[in-house]
Amino acid sequence: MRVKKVLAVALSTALATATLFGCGNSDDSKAQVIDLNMEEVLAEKPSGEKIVVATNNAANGRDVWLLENAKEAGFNIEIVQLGGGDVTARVISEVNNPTLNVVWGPSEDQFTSMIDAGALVKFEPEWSDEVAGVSEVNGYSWPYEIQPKVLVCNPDIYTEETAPKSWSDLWEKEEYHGKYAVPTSFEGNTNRAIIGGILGQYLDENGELGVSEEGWSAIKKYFDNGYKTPKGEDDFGNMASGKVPITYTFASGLKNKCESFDVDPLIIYTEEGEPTNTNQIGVVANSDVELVKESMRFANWLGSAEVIGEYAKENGNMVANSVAEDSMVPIIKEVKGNYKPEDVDWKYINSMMDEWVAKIQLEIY
Amino acid sequence: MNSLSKNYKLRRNIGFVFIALILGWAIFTFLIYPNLSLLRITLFSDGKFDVTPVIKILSSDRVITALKNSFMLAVCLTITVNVLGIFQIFVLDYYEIKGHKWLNIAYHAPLICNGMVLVTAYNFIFGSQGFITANLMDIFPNIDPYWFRGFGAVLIEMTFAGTANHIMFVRDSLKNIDYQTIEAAENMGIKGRRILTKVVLPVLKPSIFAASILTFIVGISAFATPQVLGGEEFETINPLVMSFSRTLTTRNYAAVLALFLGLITIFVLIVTNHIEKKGNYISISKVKTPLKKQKIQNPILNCIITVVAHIVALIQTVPLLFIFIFSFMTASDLYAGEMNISNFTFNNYLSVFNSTTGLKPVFTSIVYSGLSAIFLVGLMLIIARIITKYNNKYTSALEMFLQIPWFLPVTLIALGLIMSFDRPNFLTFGFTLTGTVYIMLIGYIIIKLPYTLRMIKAAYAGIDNSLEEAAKNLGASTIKTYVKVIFPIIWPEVLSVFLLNFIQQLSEYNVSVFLFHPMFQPLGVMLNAATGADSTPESQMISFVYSVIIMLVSIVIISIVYGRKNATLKKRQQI
Amino acid sequence: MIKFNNIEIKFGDFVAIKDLSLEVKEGEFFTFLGPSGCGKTTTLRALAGFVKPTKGSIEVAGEDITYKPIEKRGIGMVFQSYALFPTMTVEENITFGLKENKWDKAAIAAQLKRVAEMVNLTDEQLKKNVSALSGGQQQRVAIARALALNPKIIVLDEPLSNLDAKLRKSLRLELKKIQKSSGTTMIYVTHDQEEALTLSDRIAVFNNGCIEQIGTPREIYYSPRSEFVTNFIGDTNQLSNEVVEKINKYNSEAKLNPQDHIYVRVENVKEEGQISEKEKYFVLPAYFQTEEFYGITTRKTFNIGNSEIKSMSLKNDKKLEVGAKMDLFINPSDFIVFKEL
Repeated sequence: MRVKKVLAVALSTALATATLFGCGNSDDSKAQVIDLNMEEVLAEKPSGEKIVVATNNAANGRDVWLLENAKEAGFNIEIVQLGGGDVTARVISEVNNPTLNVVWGPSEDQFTSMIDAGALVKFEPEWSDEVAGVSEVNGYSWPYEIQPKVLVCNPDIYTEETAPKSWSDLWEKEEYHGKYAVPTSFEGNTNRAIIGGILGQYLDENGELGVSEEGWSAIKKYFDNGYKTPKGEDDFGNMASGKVPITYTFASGLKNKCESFDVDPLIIYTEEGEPTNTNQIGVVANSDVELVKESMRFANWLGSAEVIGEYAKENGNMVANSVAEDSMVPIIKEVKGNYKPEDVDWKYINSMMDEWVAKIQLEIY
Repeated sequence: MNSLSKNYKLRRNIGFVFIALILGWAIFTFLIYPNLSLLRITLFSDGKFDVTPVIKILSSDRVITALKNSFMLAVCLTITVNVLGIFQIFVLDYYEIKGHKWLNIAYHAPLICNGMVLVTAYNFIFGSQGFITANLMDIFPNIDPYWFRGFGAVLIEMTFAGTANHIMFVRDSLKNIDYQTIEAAENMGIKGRRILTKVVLPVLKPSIFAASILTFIVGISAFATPQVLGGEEFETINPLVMSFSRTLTTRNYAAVLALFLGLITIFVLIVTNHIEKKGNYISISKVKTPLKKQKIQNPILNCIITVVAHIVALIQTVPLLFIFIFSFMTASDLYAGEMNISNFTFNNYLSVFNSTTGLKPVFTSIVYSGLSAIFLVGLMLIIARIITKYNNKYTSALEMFLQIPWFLPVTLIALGLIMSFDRPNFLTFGFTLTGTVYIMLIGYIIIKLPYTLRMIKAAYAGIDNSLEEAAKNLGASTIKTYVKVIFPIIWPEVLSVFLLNFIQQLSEYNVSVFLFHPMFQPLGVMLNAATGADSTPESQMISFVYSVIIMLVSIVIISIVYGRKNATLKKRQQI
Repeated sequence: MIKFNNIEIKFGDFVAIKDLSLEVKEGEFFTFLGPSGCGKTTTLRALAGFVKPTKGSIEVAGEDITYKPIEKRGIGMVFQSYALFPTMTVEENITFGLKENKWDKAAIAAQLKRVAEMVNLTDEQLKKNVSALSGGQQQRVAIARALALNPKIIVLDEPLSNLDAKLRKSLRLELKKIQKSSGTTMIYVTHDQEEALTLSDRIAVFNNGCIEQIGTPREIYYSPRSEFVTNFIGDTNQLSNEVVEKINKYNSEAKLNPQDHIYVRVENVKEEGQISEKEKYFVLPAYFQTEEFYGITTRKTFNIGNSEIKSMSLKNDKKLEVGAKMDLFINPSDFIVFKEL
């Protein structure tokens, strides 16, 4: 009896959803070029059609915030919580039959691979001018958040004078050996940006994978002299307790991490500048034009100064939208005022990142 | 007479051709085609085999060391799991040990916990900032905080986590021992321990072999435990495979590494099959006397074994209890290794219940796990029956194909599915599977095929052939014979396989993350979103909440299923 | 009733049964006797339908059943391992076939009662799970189950081989009684000549996939038609050349040819006090070696040069000294001689 009931429930849900979502998606949408008049699309009110928003920004109650505000604005969304890498891999592999509609959160290079796979549609939000200059315009995905990676030190152990002045100080000066945390996985954007920020200093056309021998030796020293935070320890926690007093974080993590570990760290603005990328929002190509339109309206709404400002106020983000800058929390305002984006060829770096990471995994780490 | 004979053969052949066609289609469509096309894309990107990844991999010290470590772990784990597992089986079924009921539950407890979360719990208990370590350091300040790390730690954790499966597999064959053989040995003047090694263990040999193969595969594909407890000094290969398989440009590395692993596994399988065939025997007892539990005569030995048995039980259950406790703690307390009861909070639970998905992932996972477990058991009941009844080259091939999922990383299997069925395909009768609710179900089924096949095959192997003949002789048709005679005998084993599959799929991640339908996010994905690369300490706490939910669901399902099983067993044994 | 016509059965390249023909009459208790691996069980299984002959046909009551499905043959079978269904009670085991054949409830109950009485199973035992029964009781269940469907034919594959000697003997008698009272044709497979001789109306002696001889127990015993049968049935001495030559030497009228194969049954090797007309016998001097005392009978072994000869006798009043010399007597008509071809 029980088995029967479970089966019945399972089948009916499965069938219901299949009719709802399984159909209409079967056409080959990759080749389809949708030429839409942006102004017309964005001028329309939300239709309320259900759209699927995939994001890495849903943890710690942010999903509830997003859902409620979207509902108020007239959108009917389903939030799918996935890491940036997972979202990207999924959107690319589903290019012929997408299930996600709006992607919110991955970095620009992840968006680049989605665009290269033909998985996104062109669109331009009303606030495109307000984020001008934050990242290179590709016509598909738009930045809503700037994400510099900053070095942070335990304030009781280091002062501005004794703290490292640059990333290269970490491995070149013996006093910092063993005192700084290094990446232990290579999937997250932050860790990849750190690696890119180091190797990016040593680009050399003739070098292996476009990096000079010096560069490879630098990254080897960086890993060899750093602390590989084991699972069960937190690098930020170690910094706060003084166990491993130097670590790094993405800017929007500062607020939460400082609160969690009750610390007011010394933030270092390095000589090279901070490896910086942006997090963006884009719309997935789909043969259902109405769905695409609604997705564009949603992306436009979410990235607008008012909404993203409100989001940044609660979560401590560094907004890309110049109009929303006032909503940022103090610590982020401070970082925004002081950091300088590391000036290297990020486009090239990102294109090489997978192979670099593979080399590091195989030969260096 | 001739026409009769032809008619008989024709009927037989039509049935065979029909089954062969369906199986051939399913195996080709879901096991061969997607995996081959993915391997083709990754390894032959320009139409010819690219040797660069092979060279790079072979010249990487890290990879070679990791491969060696994986192999070493698999071998050692096979030994330790067997030793501990057999000890536990004897404690449960052979000797009279106090606290049998509790031990029985405790020894099976690790089954209900997600592997990643279990090892995380170990780490928060024994790790550098774990509770036990912190307390130990208060007493002995000179202790290395990283004492529980490296090969030993990995082996210990995986051994204690791995015996439950072993027990389930081997235990039944102990129950099949003819007690008279033990009495006979006693009568010949053989003493306790030698009876074990000379009489009892040889009977268990076939099932120990089968369980060993499963353990070996668990060891060689170890993922979560080495990642968490291995540290720098003990890295294994599978975490590298997983991380390579995630990005497009490095997928060929993953494929090459997977092929390496596959070769090792195939080699081991061939060797063990060879040994297995050589040393097999069949029980000749026609009238078996049920096993009587032995008292350990020596009081000191009895005391030692009882104490050890209960310590093992504690080691297997305490981490689960800690997971429960962790789920009420704050992140800062957890990472600081402090347990302040005054700080206990329901916040972690509230953030799960209040999230937009709420408890829906629980139901999604129950449905998917349940359906896949039912389907798997159903399918393998048929296929394993064919394989055991007709032993020829076709059925050997069938068995080999069904083991494909053991030789490939699950990520590649998922990607193969998603990329092969993202447009109408004649193999799927023009249906597109990618993006539907069905594809994850298919994925769940595929990854558990080899395991389910092994288990159910073992169940069939224990049945006396003449039972079936007797039923037919009494006028029962083939189907009725199966339903009324064969199936009731293997029913308990089938239930166990069903439960194990169900519980393990509840928190499945590697396949789910690519295949789940956006409206139906499974628990595994939620759990890993909480522990993934970009996660914060707070989200770690969420994973404990999900684990507690998974454990609760598992316990409920087990008690329902076993409640029914025990009821039927009791009914059988009445009077 | 049952006819095997030129049956051949192959397993791969191995020929298990070669061109076998045999007829069993209605109501007969027919035994397939032979050492293990001789093909007797295979032949039986072909009749029940578990094995398909590669050549030839099997008829039952005039109908060709060679390719008839097992479940439609209506031949009851008792298995060596009993093959009782372990998940069922005794009652469920016995009525299994009845339910499969859609008997109505009342008929099932009546039949259950009838066969249970036939094999002496109590009501209490009927309710038990089969695994709770002793070996002998399990055997009764197996027989009752085969009887339940009132089959015209029951085949039994070494049904008593797993029981102790005493139980075996008493069940043997019951089996015979059941067979006679039910009028069923029974085919019984055994390697035990005692079973075969006591139970059977007729016996087929199997060897190497062929039938060596078919006949009544007496025919088989007293007129074995082949050396194999002679050796296999009864307790027999094969006389060595040495012994034959000794007989020729001590008895002038003896003209035994040492090239022939000469046999004599143990009970026909006599001692002085056991015979009345000494002159009708050949004498054979021998030395006593050992004895096996069975109570009713005694089996003795004697040395003749380097050869041995065994005797079996009823009386056993005196205990012989090892090495004691004594004369043995054999009636010339008791020699079973197979000419060397």
